Amino acid sequence: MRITICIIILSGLIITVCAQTKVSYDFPKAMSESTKKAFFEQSEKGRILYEMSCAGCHNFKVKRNEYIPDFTPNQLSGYVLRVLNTEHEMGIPEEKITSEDMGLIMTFLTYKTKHGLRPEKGQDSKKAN
Amino acid sequence: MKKYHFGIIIFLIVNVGFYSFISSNAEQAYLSRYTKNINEFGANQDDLLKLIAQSNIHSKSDLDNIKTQILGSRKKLKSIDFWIRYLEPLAYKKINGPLHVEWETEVYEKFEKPYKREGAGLTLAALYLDENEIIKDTLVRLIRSSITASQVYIQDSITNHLATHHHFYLCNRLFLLNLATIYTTGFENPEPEAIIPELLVLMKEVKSIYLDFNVSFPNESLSDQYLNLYDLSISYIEKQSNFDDFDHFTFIKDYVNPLFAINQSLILQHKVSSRSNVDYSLNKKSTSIFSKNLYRAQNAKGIYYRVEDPKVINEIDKIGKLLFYDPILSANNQRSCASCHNPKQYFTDNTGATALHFDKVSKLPRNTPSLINVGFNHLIMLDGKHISLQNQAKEVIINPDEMGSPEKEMLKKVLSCFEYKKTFEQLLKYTPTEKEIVYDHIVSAITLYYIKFSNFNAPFDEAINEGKPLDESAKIGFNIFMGKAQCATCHFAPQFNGVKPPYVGSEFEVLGVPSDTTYNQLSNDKGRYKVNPAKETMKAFRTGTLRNIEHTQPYMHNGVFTTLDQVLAFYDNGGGLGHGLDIENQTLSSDSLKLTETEKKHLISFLKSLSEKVAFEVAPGKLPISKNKTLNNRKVGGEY
Repeated sequence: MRITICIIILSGLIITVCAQTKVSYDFPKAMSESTKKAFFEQSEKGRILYEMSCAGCHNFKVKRNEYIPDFTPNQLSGYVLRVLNTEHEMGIPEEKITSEDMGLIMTFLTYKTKHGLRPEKGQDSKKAN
Repeated sequence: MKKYHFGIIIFLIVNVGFYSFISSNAEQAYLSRYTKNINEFGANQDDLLKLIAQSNIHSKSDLDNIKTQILGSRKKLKSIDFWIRYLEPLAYKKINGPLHVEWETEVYEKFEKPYKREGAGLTLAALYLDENEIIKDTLVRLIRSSITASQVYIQDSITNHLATHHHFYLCNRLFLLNLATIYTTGFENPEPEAIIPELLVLMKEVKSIYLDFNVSFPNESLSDQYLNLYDLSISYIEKQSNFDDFDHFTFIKDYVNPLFAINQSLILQHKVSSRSNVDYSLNKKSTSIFSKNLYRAQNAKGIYYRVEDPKVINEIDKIGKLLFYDPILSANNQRSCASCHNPKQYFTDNTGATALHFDKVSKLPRNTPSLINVGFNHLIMLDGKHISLQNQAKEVIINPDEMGSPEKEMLKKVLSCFEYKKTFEQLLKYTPTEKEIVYDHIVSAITLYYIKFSNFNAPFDEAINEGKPLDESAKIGFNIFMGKAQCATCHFAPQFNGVKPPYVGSEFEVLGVPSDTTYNQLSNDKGRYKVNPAKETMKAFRTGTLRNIEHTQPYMHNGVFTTLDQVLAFYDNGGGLGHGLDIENQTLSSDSLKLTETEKKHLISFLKSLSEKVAFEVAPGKLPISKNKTLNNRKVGGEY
C-alpha cells in the first residue's frame, strides 16, 4: 500500500517537473542592472498571466516537454493583436485581458529566452509561405 | 445519334456557362457596386479639381459654380460613406474631416502620445469658400488630399474585406450609430438646409448597397424585417419638410434604435467577427444605443477585473465603500473621497465653484466632477491627464493639493486596520501577479465601488427603450438640442459627452469660458495644453456628460455658472468669443444661436429628462479600527 502511494506521488512529481516550462530571460546586454530588474519583475507578472490566459492554446509539446512558442516581434504588436487573430476577437476582449496586462504578457514573450524549435503559426509564417 | 450526343454536350456547356455567369454576377454584384461607386467618386473629384483650376477665384459666379460642384461631390460621397468610414477611418478624415487639426488618443493607442491628425476634403473646402480671402492653392490642396486618400480604398488590403460578410454588419452598425448621433445634426455639414437632402441621398444609397449585399451573400443576408423597417425610415425622412422641424426623437426611437437592435442580433446570428480597431469598445451583445452596455471605456474593477463571482464582487464593493468614506487615505486623516465627491450630491460638490485646497485656505482651480458615468470616458480628468480611473484615484490621494498622502504611508495606515488587511489578504488570490497588497488593490476597490452608481437609467432612456411616455417639452427640447441649438454636434448620444461613434476616443473643445460671470476675462486655465501642448489644445477641455446635469451644478471646468440658464446664455451668445473675449482657437461657433426663451425652456426640460434614477446608499455606520489608536477617531466621510 505504502509503495503504491509512494509510486503515485513520485510519478506525479516526475510528470510535473517534466511538464513545467522552464523560463529564462535574455535582456539586452546594454540594459542597466536596475532596468533589467524592473523588466524581470514585469516579465514574471507577464509569465503568470500568459500561463493563465494564453498557454492553453499557444503552448506546444515536443515529446513530453511543453514549450512556449517563440513569437516574432510582429506578432507581439500590442493592441493590434486583438484583431490580427480572429480567435482573439471573442477570446480576449478588454474584459478578459486588459491592455495593461496585455503589455505585461508582451514584455514576457519579448524577453523570454528563445528555444528556436519552431515559430508560432500566424501572420508571419503565412507570409513566408 | 452522334449529332444528338453532340447537341446535348453543347446544350450542357452553354447551360453551365450561363449559370456560372449568373452566379458569378450575383457574387460580384456587391463588390461591383463598391468599385463602381469609388471610381465615380474619384472621377467626380477630378472634375471638381479641373473646375477650380479653370475658375477665377475672385468671381462670385465662379465661386458659386465651385460650391455647387462641391455639393455634388458630397452627394457622390454618400454612395461610399457606408464603407469608407469604417474600412479606413484615417483616410476618411482626409476626404471629409470636420477639422483641420485633431489631436487624438484612441483607446487602443492610449499608452502613446496624442497623434496629430490633419483633416482635409469636402467639408473643409466648403467652409473655406466662406472665408474672406481665398487662395486657390489652399482649396486645391484640400481637394488633392481627398483624391489621394480615396486611392486607399481600392487597395487589396481594403477590398479583401469585401469578400466576406463580416465587415458589412460592422459597417452597418457604425452607419446606424452615426444615424443616431451625427448624420442628422450637421456635425460635418456646413449648410443646415443641406442636411435633410444629403441624409436622404445617403439613406437611399445605403439601401442599394443592402440589396446588392443580399444578392451576393444569400446565406448571410439582411432580414426582411430589417429591410421593411429601413424603407419606413426613408419614408419618414421624406415626410420631413425642413431641418428645424425634424423630429429626431421619433426618428431615433421608432427607426434607428430598432434597426440597431436587429443589426446587433444579425451580428450574433451570422457570427460576425471584427478585424478592425474601429470595433474596439463596442459590445456585440448590446441591444440598444441607449443602453449602458453599448460601449466600454474604462475597466472599473481595476486589478480585480477577472473577478466574476458576485459574492467576491460584493466583498470588494464593501471594502471599497469603507475606503471611499475613510479619511485614513489623506495625510491629515480628515479628508475622504466623499468629502468632495459627496454621495448626497450626485458624487460631486454643489457647495462651491471649486473645492477647498488641502491647506484649507485656498481653492483648487477646477470644479469637482461627478463620479457618475465617469467610466464612459476614455480619458479621465477635464484635461484628459489619466487613461484609467485607477490612475486618477492614485493621483488624487498622493496630490499635495488634494489629499496629500505619500503612497507608502497611506498603505501602512490602511493595513494597520485589521478589517482592511484581512479582506485584502483574502482577495489576493484573485490577483495572481501580486504577492502582497499594493496600491492598486486599494484604488481598484474604490473604483469598483463607486462605478455601480452609473448603472441607472433616465426617463429619456426609458422613453426610447421601453416606450414610456416622455414629457412633450423634453421631446421638443431634444429636437432643438439635435438641431437648431447645435448641442449634439459635440455632446453625442448615448452619454451626451464627447465620445462619438465608434466610441474609441474622447473629444476636447475650446469654449472660451470666462473666469467669472462678468465676462471681463477668460479663465486662465490652460486645460488640455498642460498635458499635450499645441496651438489647438490651449484652453481645451474634455466634453463632459450632460446626464444628471440637473443635480451637478455648478457648471464648466471652473464652476463659473451656477444655473442652467447661465450655461445656455453662454452658448446662445457664442461662448467666450461671442461675449467679446479674445480667444483665437475657439471651436464653438461665435455666432448667436438665436434661441427664444421658450426654446431654452424646452432644452432645460430635455436636460432634466437625463436625470438618472440613481439608488444612493447610506454612509457606513463606522470605519475599521486601526492598531494605531490615534487613528481611531476618524469621522465617517471625513470633513471638508
